[in-house]
This record gives sequence, structure tokens and C-alpha cells, in this order.
Amino acid sequence: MKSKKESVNRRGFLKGAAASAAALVATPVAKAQEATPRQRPAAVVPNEAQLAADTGAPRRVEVERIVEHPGSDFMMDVLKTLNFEYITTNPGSSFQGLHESIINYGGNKAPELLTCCHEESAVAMAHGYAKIEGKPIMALLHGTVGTQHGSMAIYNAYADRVPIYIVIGNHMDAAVRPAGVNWYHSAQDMGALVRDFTKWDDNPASLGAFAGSAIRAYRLMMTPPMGPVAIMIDSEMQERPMPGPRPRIPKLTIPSPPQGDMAAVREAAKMLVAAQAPLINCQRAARTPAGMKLVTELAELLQCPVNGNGERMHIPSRHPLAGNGFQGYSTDLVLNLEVQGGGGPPNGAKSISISSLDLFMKSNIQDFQPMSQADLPIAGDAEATLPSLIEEVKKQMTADRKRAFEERGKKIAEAHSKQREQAIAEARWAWDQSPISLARLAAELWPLIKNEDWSLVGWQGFIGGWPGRLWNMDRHYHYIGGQGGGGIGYNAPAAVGAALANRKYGRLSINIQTDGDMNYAPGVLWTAAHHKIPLLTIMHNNRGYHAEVMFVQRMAAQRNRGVDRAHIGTRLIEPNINYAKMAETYGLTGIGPISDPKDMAAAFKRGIEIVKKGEPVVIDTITQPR
Amino acid sequence: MKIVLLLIAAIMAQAPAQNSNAPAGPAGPAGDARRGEGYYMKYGCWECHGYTGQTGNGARLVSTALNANGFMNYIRNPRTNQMPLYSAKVISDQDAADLFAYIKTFKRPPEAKDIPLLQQIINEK
Repeated sequence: MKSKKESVNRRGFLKGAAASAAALVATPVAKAQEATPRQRPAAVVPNEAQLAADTGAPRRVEVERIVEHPGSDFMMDVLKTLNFEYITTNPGSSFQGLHESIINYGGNKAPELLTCCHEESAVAMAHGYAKIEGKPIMALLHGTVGTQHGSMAIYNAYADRVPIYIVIGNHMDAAVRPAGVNWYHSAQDMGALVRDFTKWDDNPASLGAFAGSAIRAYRLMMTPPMGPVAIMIDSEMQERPMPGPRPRIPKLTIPSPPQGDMAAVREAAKMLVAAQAPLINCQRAARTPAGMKLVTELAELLQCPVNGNGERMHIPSRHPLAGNGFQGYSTDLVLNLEVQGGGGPPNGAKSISISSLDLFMKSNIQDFQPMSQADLPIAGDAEATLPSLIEEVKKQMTADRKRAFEERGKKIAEAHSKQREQAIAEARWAWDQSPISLARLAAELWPLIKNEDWSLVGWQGFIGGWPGRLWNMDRHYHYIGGQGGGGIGYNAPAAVGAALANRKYGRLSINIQTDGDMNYAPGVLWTAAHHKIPLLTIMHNNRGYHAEVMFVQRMAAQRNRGVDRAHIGTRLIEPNINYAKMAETYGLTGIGPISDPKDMAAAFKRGIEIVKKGEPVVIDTITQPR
Repeated sequence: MKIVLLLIAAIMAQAPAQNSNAPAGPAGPAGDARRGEGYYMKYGCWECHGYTGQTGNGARLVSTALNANGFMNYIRNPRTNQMPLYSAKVISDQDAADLFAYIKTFKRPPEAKDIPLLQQIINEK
């Protein structure tokens, strides 16, 4: 039985809230009136007719005000056909109809709604999820304000060629739109806010049109080059009863990805077989687990080096062909697979490009990079084209060439072995120093995870690439790259999204997290705790936006002034931020801060034990700048 | 980028024309390591070289072969655009000498062969 105190909680809360609001708004007036005795507002006395109605026999429910079959239930039926596992969202009134349908009509299962504390987190979680799982989830955004909050994360996913299905609420009909905040949160053309960095958007005017748009958006999103799409949903369309007969839901079929022209593929194979020192250069070629196997197969066939585990895993990190070859390896042919722009090949070398980016590009934002200088550009998806290329190389490879390839491969393997040993030995620098070196951090973590089914879900660009140098990465989920568009604020939420995808496989998700990025929207820690998403977050806490510290330092030196002031506007000090306490506040286990390298192993062990029980953990380590 | 940084490291570490075996030029001011420690932080050396001259994007100062004159020459006219140029207006000769005295106190880490954890990783296949 509820106590009396509890039973009046809501009323008391509202009363308190009203009083607080009044105090905030009316403080100066209230002060002026302090001398005047307070009067309670008089209750409105009902007239006779109202009194009779209120005290007579209980009335029937006003059935006409109940909407048992709202449009948003049909929207839910459509979305169910797309098989989303989750919907990430921060709540907003422009989609309250669909929100209710998801949790009640849809039973909050397949898809399940995940509560996020910021739209950027909602979208970035979907970004990380898709890179592990190879398929999208849905992000549900509020009109105008929520969409602008989420837009940075949408841009990152667009630049990273990652599919995210975005649904945005809008109060379209101005005739019924209540005055006030809903007008601020509505737009004539909501899609314009994100059109420069989505593959497609639509603003369907009926439920039938929604069904068609929803399916079309999914197809376009999943056709390489992949990217986010956005569908606007009108609040009235969600909330009104279903009009007329139920619209047809089109069948979802995904087009086969575009392959390169076979004549061009044969020419590429000829060039690769004839080359003395070819190099395979990859950026986002592996968009499914099969991609890494295909790139590795081609490299083994040609016995040539593979450069490019920066954005996706393309070849196991300890594979003898991983890297740029040996000293003096004079590359004469570069095969670029889904490489976005970039400079030309080394002096005198020729190049082949296989990329779907030639099939789809937008004009405004310059994410497309300088135009690649390919001797043989092939428009097509690299992963889809690789099987044909591999077959053509096999056909064109003679016994003589095969012997030459094997000789080449031996030299590359020898060099790789030496380079690997040297790279690991480099980890000794600042080994015993405090703050902790990033090399030691990665080295201490490795023996604790190497026998687990682990997944590094954060970017290693700001941590010296040490996991890639020290750890054995040989699965597609061992590394998923970075932001795409270079927008900071991606890493913490994308890691949570990737960990969400890893959860059902029982993988140990690990994120070495920069402090600057964490502070964009740390509420994602609460989302991880609330939805029980196991993730080991280890803070690379260098107390600043360190790249910018260096940039400002260089600028001051160039201008011959103020070289002792680069910390202004760049460092996160005075006060220092305690991430263990931050984690605890959000309901996670927080460990640290740790500044002595000798204390790391015990903390990591403890953190891993907790994560393996299904919970997120944050370990704060105070680190060297880079 | 990494190649460029390695190149910088190599230049700073070797600097054959200015190493400590080179004939000494006119002597600069004597350095004070204690003052240099403060300048290392104040002038932002730590930003690219780490707190102990061993990490970061810049050269490893702990293993520099430069002598005092070489160090002075290097910060006044770096051989790479990655390293900012510091004139005498922003870092005086005395401050630079103090910085160098401090940098020379940096202790090298153990060799990789003496770190069991790294040996264990090297021996993994």
C-alpha cells in the first residue's frame, strides 16, 4: 500500500514545480509585493448545470475521443517489415504518436526503444551498431531541434558510408498546429536540414506514401555506397485514426550491389599480374565480414602487401602481407579499393581504383576529397567486384608469375616479421612513466583479453594506433575505424552502439576513450547502464583537446608570440574531470583515476570481470598527451 | 603522416652535423635543469614530446644526440614544418639552455628485451 506521502507525490511535485516556476519568472515582482498579505486564489464556483453533470450518474466514456487504430500503428507495421532490432531516440512531441505505437502496439520488441540523452548519441549509437552488425537500426529524431542535434552524427555516418535509418517527426499542418513551441519544432522542408549528408529523404503526405517511402529508403540506404536516409513523419498522420482501407506495404528487396565492368576487371587483373611490386590500398572496401576474407585472398594470390586497416579490418594485423612491403619495395601499381580521393600513386606508378563513390556523390560538403588519379578507374562496389577480380587473376597467372609472386611474398613476410618486432619494441618508451603511456596501456590490456572474443569499438587514431601494433586483430569486429567525417563526439556513443551489437554474441567490447570526445554527450553512459550494454571503457585522459593544443602552439610560434598560452581554450583542467565519479553518477562502475602504470593490470582485470557479467565499466587512466 | 613523424624522429635523434662529437662552437649560456623543468611545461614542449620526452607526435628528446648548440640551432631553425620555430623573442637563449639541461636529465626506459610483457607479445604468432 502506498504511503500517504507517496500518494500525493505527483500532485505535490506539480505544485512545487509551479511554485518554482513562478518564483523564477516573478522574483522581482514578488519582492516588490512582500509587504502585501498573500491571498489564495478563489476556487471557480461551478454553475448549476456543471454541478448537476459532475454529481449525477457516471457518464459514459467519450468514445469519439479515443483513437484505437492510429496511423502510427500502421507505421509500426511498416517498420516491423524492416526488421530493426532497436530504435534509438531522445523523446520529442513531434513523434509521440509513433513513440506510443512502438512501446504498446509494437510491444517494444523487435524493434526495442533505447532511451538516449542526446540525438547525437542516438545517431552515433546506430553508426557503431551498423559497423559491427552490417545492418542498420533506426534513429528516431524530434523535428528541427532534435534533427539539428543529431545532424553532426548523421554527417559522420554519411562520410563513413554507414547505413542509418532516420525517422524525423514534424507538425506539418499549420492549421491545427498549436501555437508556441510546436512552431519552433516544425519545418516546411525538414529534410533540408540534413539533405547534404543523407543519401535520400522524403516527406510522405499519406500513410500509403509512407509505406512506399519507408521501403524505398531502406533499399537506397543499403545499396553501395551506403549511407543514412531520412523519412519525415507528420504528427497528425501519426495521431489521427487510420483513414480508409489499409494501404499496401511494398515488399522489401535489396538490389545486388554494383559490380565493376568485366572488361575493366580483366584489364585490372592483367595489370596486377604483370606488376613487379603491386600494393593493395584499402579504406572502406570491407563492408561485410566477407570483405576482409576477399582482400586477404587477393593479396595471398598476388603475394603483395595490403595497406589499410585504418577504417575497417581488411587483413589480419599479423598477416605477413599486412603493411607496405619491405624497405626498397618500389611500388609500381596501386590497387585502391574504396579509397576516397587521396593523392596519386608513388612516382611513376600506375593505379587502379574500384569504388562505388563514382556512382553517387553530392556537391556541397567536400567529403569526396581530391579526385583520385587512377589510370584505370572502375565504378563499382569493391567488395562485390573482388570475387570476379580474384577469378581473373587466377586465370591470367602463369607458372612463371606464380614463382615470382612467391619470391616476392617471402621477402615481404621477412620484412613484416622484423617490422612487427620493431613496432612492439617501440612500446618501451615511457614504459614506467606517469602519466601512463598509451603503448603500455594497450600492452597491459592485451594479455587480459587475448583469450576472449573481444572487439575494439573505439577509434585508435588518437591513441597512437597501439592496439593495431600490439594486438592480434584477425576478425572484422576486432576494429571498426573512426568517425568518418572527423566529428568529435562520435566515439563514446558509437562504442556503446557497437557494444550493443556485440552483446548478443557475448563479445567483450573495449573502448579506449578520449576525454574530449566523452564530454560532448556523456549521458550515453547512462544509456549503457540503463539498457545493460556491457562495455569496458578505458579513458585516455590527457585532459584536453590535444590536437588543438598542438595546433595553437604551432600558430603562436609561427607568429612569434605567446607560446606559453596554447592551453587557453584547449585544455580540460582546473578543475580536472574525474571520469570514475562521472561513471558512478550515471550508474556504472567507475574505477580510478589511475596514474601509476603498475596499477593498470589489476584495474583492468576487475573491469573485465564486471563487464563479463553484463555491465558497463569506466576506468579512468591519466595518460601521456599522445 | 606516420612516415613524416618517423623522419622527424630520425633527424632529431641522429643530426650528424650537430651531434655531441662534433667540434664545439662558441659556448652558449650554461643551463639550469631545475628552471628548465618549468620551461618544458610553460613553453609547451610536453605537447608534442610527452611529459618525459619519450612519447607523442614529436621526436624522442630522451635519445637526442644534439649538443647544447645543436639544440639551440634546432629550435631556432627546425628542419621540418612539423616542429614550430621558436625565436629568441619567445624563448631566450638562457631559457633554451635551461630547457636543454632539463632534457638531458631524461632517463631512457628499459630495453624491450628486459620487459617480459613486450617479449611475450613479440613471441606470439
